[in-house]
Amino acid sequence: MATFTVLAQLAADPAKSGLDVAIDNIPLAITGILIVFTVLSLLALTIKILPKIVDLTEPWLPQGHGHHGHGGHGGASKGAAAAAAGVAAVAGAGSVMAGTPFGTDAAEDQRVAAAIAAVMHKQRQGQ
Amino acid sequence: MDIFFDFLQSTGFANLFDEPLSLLMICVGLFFIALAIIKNYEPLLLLPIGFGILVGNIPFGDMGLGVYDNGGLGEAGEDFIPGNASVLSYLYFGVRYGIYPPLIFLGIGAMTDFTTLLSNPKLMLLGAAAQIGIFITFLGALWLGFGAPQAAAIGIIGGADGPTAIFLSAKLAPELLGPIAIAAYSYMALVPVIQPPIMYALTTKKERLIRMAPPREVSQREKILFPLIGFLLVAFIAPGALPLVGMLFFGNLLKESTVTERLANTARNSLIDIVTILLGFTVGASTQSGVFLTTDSLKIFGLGAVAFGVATACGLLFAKFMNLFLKEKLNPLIGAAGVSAVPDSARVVHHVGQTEDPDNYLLMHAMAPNVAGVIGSAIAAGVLWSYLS
Repeated sequence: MATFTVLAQLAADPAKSGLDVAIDNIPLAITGILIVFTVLSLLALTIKILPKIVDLTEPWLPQGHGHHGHGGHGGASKGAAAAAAGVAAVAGAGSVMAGTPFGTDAAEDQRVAAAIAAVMHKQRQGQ
Repeated sequence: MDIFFDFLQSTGFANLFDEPLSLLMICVGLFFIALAIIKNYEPLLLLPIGFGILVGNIPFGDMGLGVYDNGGLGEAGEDFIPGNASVLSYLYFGVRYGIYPPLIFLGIGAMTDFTTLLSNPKLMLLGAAAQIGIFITFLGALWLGFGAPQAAAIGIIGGADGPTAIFLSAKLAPELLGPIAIAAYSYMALVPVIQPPIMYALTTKKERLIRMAPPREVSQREKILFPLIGFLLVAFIAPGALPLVGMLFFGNLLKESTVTERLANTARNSLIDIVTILLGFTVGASTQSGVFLTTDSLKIFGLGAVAFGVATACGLLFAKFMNLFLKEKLNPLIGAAGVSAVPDSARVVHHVGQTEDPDNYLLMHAMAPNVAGVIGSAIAAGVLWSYLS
């Protein structure tokens, strides 16, 4: 099996050590980090103006309700609904990178967990 | 009698003398299975991987049964001879050519709720900060003597994203795919062990007690538009991320559109289950002792731990940096969830926060950088693949 150790590097350029190669690739690393930050920053900005875009598309997109319920509710119920949605989302995601959600019992667990979170958040908001 | 002795020569026991280290890998496989069943550590990953390790390390001699016995399929300059390809090599095709990871991302998109991210978009930056670990590890791998493509494939372990790690190693460093995949999934399973000490070390008690405001309401139309606009934006800027990010947002649109519930259900249930089984099993089977037990594998495991730790630290520190400019402070613990180990990392953040204040519910806030990290690691992989392929 081919090895990818310092010997391979020296074969390519005997004068360069691993540290030299790493230093030479710092611009690539910095560029990569900047690209990731740029793209996610632009995404964040897009999300920030998304409500305005939604208003523009109102004639074409269906009226729907978010997971958080109707507008006009108090902040407590919005926060509680958000907490419930968050818990349900996490419970439903499960081990996402493995990917498999749960069976019927777990779906029931999700609903129970969401209900408990909603009540606890409402109580906290009411304090 | 000659036939009988020939048969004895073909058994795994006889071939063990040529491949004694197979026994060690079989023990590793049994260990993974035990972790999955007894400790319930990521069973959906570790059990298929563990059993795959058992299958891949039975010494079969010259019978051509392994994942690498592909009869020339896909090899440049070689004629494909179907009779010479093993069944495992056909199943491994999806790993080798990066087919399974995008399908897993489709399922992940179909089960991911971006609501918390949409309600507080600045948390997206925490997901970006955690990806710094990828590039620092890339430099570390170069320092240890790996080539640039190999270093990039090793660095992506810092993204804490198994499918992305497999996708990038299949493209850039297929010879290291076994150890990289095992390292990535092992560290993902160990998130509850690795992250808390870093979180306690880099935050003060006062910071851990910060309570964050509840998120705003997000409309269904926002949730429909986000995957469309998000995909177009990411794909145009970083086309290398197209396979992963495209499938992620496609799956999410299937879910949020509410008109394709059948497809979304299939993506997040049957499809992802099937692909997870095949991917875990064949990745495990690829860890044949002759390929896996090398000094390079040890270096990869060490670098993987560094990648994970640095990614966690960068997310935490960036949250503290953001607090210098924010009126409504962030709890810096949620920065640790910028690694894309969804949702385990968010759960760990929530647990650590609750240890300090049982009434502090950080879970939903932590999910925002957590899912942002999935997008961020896919973008990082796309950038590295574009530049180094």
